[in-house]
Amino acid sequence: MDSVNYSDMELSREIALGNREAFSAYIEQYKRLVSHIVFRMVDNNADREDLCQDIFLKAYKNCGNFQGRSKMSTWLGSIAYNTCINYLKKMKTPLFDDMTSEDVSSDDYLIDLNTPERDAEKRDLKDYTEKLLECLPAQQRLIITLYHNDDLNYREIGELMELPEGTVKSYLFRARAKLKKRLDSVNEKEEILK
Amino acid sequence: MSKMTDNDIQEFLDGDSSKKDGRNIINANDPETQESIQQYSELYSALDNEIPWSLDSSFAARVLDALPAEMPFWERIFSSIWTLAIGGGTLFMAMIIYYVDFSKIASYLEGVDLIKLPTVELTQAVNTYNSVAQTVSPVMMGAIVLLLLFLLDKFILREKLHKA
Repeated sequence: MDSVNYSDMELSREIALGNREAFSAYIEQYKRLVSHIVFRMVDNNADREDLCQDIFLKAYKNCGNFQGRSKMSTWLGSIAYNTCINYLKKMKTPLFDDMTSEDVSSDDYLIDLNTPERDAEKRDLKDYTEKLLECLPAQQRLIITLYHNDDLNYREIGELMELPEGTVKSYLFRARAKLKKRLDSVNEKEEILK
Repeated sequence: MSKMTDNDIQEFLDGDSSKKDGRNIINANDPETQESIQQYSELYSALDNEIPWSLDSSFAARVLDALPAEMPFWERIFSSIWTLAIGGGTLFMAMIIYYVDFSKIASYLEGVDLIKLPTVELTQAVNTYNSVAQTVSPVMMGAIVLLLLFLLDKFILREKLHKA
């Protein structure tokens, strides 16, 4: 499909008028961000695509309300974030702050990483990352992904998640420190096992 | 001499230049700090290159399929009470222009001495208006109705139905 370049306001106006071509371009432009948010918030793979679809349908319906005060990415991101929170509440999944990961032992990761299939590549940090991220509360996982993969800054992440910039920064730093600590712990145990 | 804390290192690696003071730069030479910076750098690189789950290329098509079908123009028009108001109002105006003889009204107003107008010029103007209005008004009113309906559809109905 030919891509049409629209500004955020033009795009929202066109979509509000029912322009499907503009909506298709919109989906292509923002599906990466939406999928990242849903992936980080929702563990159930079967529900993820339905949620993404719901998010875009909500955006389609409400595009006329976009005022251009924030970037389209943060506007859509906050729809995605709130949709995921509602889903988690509906599924009675404990929300972020209840999910403390401090008590998760680094042995959990070590055991998995020592399976024969992964043995050859266990030293590759990239392979650890996904597993390590799982130990973080969803909110911190999401902040890490938005910052490192979607290049959003503290202010944009704060707008999206309705958190003060300082809180975003503090969560991000705390999450990375936690990841590093776990990596250190895994490395130490590997040394002992040698 | 105090070492760089985790926060200092993260700010350093995030490129937060406002936080990079002399202490940080000097202490980055400390072996323990160097090791920490190295570990954080590796972690940053892994996080930057981590590929989260993504949607496939046919996702947009599936979302478009899930949208309700768009109503045709005339269905949208006839689904609104506004159409009746515009149509009725315009028809009423058209009938007034077409059937009312304004020259009689002008003569009457002159007779009751309510307004003082140059009689000859007024009569000529009214007669010209009557003949033009009777010829042009049906076409003109039709065009006005269509224009109003188009504007109604573009600025009100499509958005309203889109939200519904």
